[in-house]
Amino acid sequence: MRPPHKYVVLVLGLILLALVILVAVGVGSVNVAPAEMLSILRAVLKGADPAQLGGQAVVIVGLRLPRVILAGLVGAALAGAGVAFQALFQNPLADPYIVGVSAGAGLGATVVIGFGLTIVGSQVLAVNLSAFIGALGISYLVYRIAYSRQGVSNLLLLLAGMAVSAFLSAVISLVMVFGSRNLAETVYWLMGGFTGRGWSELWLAVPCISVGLAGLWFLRRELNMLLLPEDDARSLGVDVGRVKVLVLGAASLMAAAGVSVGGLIGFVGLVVPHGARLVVGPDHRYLFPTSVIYGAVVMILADLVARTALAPLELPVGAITALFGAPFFLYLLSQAKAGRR
Amino acid sequence: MQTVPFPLVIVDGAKNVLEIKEQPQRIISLSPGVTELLFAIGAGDRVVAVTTWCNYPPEAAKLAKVGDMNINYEVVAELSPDLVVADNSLQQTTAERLVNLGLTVLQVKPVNIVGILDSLELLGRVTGCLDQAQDLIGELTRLLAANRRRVENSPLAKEPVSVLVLLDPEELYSAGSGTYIDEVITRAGGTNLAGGVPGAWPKLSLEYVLAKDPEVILLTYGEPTDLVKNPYLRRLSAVKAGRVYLLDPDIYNRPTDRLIKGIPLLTELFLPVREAR
Repeated sequence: MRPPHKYVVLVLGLILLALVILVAVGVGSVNVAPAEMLSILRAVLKGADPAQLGGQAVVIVGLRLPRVILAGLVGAALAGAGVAFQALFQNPLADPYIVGVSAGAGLGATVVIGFGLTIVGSQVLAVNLSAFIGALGISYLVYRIAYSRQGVSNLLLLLAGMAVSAFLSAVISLVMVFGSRNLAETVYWLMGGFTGRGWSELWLAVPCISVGLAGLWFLRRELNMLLLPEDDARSLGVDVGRVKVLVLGAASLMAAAGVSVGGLIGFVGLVVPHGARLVVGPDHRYLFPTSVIYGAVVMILADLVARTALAPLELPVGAITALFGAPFFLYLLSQAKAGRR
Repeated sequence: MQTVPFPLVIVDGAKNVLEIKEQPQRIISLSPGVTELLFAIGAGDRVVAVTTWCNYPPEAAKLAKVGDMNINYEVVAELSPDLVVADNSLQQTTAERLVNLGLTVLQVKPVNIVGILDSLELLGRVTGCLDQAQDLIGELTRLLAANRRRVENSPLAKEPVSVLVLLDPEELYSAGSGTYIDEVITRAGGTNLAGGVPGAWPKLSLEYVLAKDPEVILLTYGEPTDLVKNPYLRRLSAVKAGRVYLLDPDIYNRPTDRLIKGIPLLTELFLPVREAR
């Protein structure tokens, strides 16, 4: 292991992230020349109203910029939560949805869309809030099921998460049948994506994901301890029970925020941590930030492909991440097999 | 000449209060029905973009496209429309996101024939084409009244023709209550066999269809010969008597003036069934 190598990967990731953001804001179904884009951004920074600057300014400032930021945040959240859950469960198959956040968010969103509910006259707000509360509520329920005086049992968390998710997907199907007038919209929500999303989602995503990321960053050494057998960790002076609860809370918060604003987007939370682990190793002081940065890069790119591949038609971003993520995961598996030989 | 003053404050079909400052010059339509209504009242030359499903009138099909049920917000925003018009099929979240972009979104609510006439009036007011809209409303109202008299003075008044609508001759999907075609059949002097079945687009059982034995079958997809090939459906009276007709779904499934003008055509199909006896 050569430590400088890890920093190179991190710095490269940051440069890549900056580049990807610039490209993603500049490219889309509407063509905006780079010079035009910069002058729009400059004018808006000086306080100009995008609506007065014309259609292209609304596209850049009202749609693309917030969408790219949102995609980056959700990618970071899913990859970061994936790392945390994989450490917590000591299970390489753990993904951000393992404790039921996706099913909880799905139920929350489906109920609001299916029955046409609103909060203060806004359905966008209702969908986001209801999905978020559903996601957090369900992960707390799963946590309570797995909790006993001996602490949180990983096995119970895993099984309870699966059982609750299966139950909720049945409820979601029923809600979809009864709220069938809005069936198509529900299906599109469940497929995941960032179409039309932006500022009205960022108020939820920014605080929750920032708190989650910061929390897990402070716990990066403790995440390493979780990889040891519990007795060994205890003998090193780590309060394993407390660490588990904190990690679970931070990761669930991020995953819940991510899924409630982006829908169910698979594979980013699974593949990015594994890819990062291959390059920088299992030490969470490097693995966590690397996964977070590359998670953002991957999600912004996936969304870019989703909205440009067949423009002006938009594809569900979850389909793009699965389309590229699953083969890449298989490639990682074959590499791991070769390494074992 | 009646002039409509701008600025104008109106309440639209979604109960939103809108302020229209000037006569809209760049209109985007988000539904095929709305597109047809806009062209019918003479506002078509100010429509700048439509959906991929908007195929009538032919001029509309040539306009820029903003998507289908899922619209591309970037394309909409770049066109800087001063009015976006949709019907009640617009998703509420989509409407909100468009309003958040600073756009004026008008929703009409043509849920039935009367709703179509109301929508024409609202569109006429908002686009500054009220005169033409009222002319068209007058023409359609007279047409409806004339056809009602014709039905009332015919054997159809006492004994409406039983009608089966098939969206798909293989799967027996039909049009239930609340659909445009259901109301149109009733007004034309028929009884829709799927009118009392729950759901807008129910799938009927073969038993039900054979037991009810419709006198007329209206297809919106496929060919009348498809029914002759079917060993069960060919026993139906409508098939034996050759009373299977193919309707243009664009006319009979959209809330437009063409739908209303299509009612007398159905009455023409229904009358011979009674007169033949």
